Amino acid sequence: MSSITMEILKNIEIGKPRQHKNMTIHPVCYRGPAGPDYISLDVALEVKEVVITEVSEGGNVPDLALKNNAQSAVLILDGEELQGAKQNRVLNTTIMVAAGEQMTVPVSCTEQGRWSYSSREFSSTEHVMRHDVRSRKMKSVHASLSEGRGYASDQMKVWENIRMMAAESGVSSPTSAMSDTFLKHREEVDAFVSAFAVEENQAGLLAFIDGKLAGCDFVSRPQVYAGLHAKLLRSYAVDAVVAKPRRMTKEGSVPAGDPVADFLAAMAQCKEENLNRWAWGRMSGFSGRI
Amino acid sequence: MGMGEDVRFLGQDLIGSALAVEGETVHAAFFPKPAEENRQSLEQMLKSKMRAGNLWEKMSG
Repeated sequence: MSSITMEILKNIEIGKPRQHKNMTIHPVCYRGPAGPDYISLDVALEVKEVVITEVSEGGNVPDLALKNNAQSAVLILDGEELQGAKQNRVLNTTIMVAAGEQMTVPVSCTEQGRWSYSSREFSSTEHVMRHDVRSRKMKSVHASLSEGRGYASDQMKVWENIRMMAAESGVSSPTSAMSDTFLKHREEVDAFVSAFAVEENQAGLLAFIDGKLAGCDFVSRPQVYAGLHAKLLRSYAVDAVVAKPRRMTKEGSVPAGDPVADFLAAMAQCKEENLNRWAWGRMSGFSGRI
Repeated sequence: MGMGEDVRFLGQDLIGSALAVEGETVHAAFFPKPAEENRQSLEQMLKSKMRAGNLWEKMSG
């Protein structure tokens, strides 16, 4: 078993499940060292200590410019959506930006039908990209990295998946914006968020929808996770609200057997590859440091 | 790009990534491995679903 996987399996604790309708959430605690101090993107944007803009007046779809003016590092999660500027985007990978650092970050477009300024700077949204769309994007970024093309996603597939999301939800967005699908289901999704209040020392979640594994996210600091909890929950809940008609399963279905043990066994079986970000940054034109 | 090391996971059933900074894992995410997608069949399904909701005609029009 590889080193990071071993470290995660040694330190991860998965709590008792809670259920709301067809979604089951296990709280995740992480007992490993927390690493350097950092704050979330939302906290940094709220106090205007991070500025995110297009890379130039004309903009470039797969890149954004980010400046961290905060006194601490800022953690931005893969799939966090940013709204504004010339079109909405999501991050293509999780990034920690050091205090004072300025860099170009790799993103995917989540609003195919707009390429005009709605604001000069980006602001945060209340959600992370839907989990299954995010996993497909992750897969395409894996492929891009393995082919030496840096942190690029398959933008056509991202748009295709966003159109699928909209079609499943009966959403007709004037700019094909992913955020419009979240907006359509806001009330139902927020009922899921209310049902799964963050627990003490919780640093992540393990989610099942209709009894099937949907995903797992955790960070090393519970106080940072507390600010991310609702955003991450929405990325699963927005699927759960449309899952029932799509999968024709009964409401409230729960995972069978020992799904936590199955998940940990699947994690232990994963192969691991460490990438030197500085090298990838040089190859793909990104700036920054390790 | 940014701090730390990017770690990618790929297994029979899962796909994932982690960010390790100063040797410590600060974030990790795991998902069921997405099935191979067939672009043509996805587009056909999309058109079918959109027609069902009369959305395809609205967008095409």
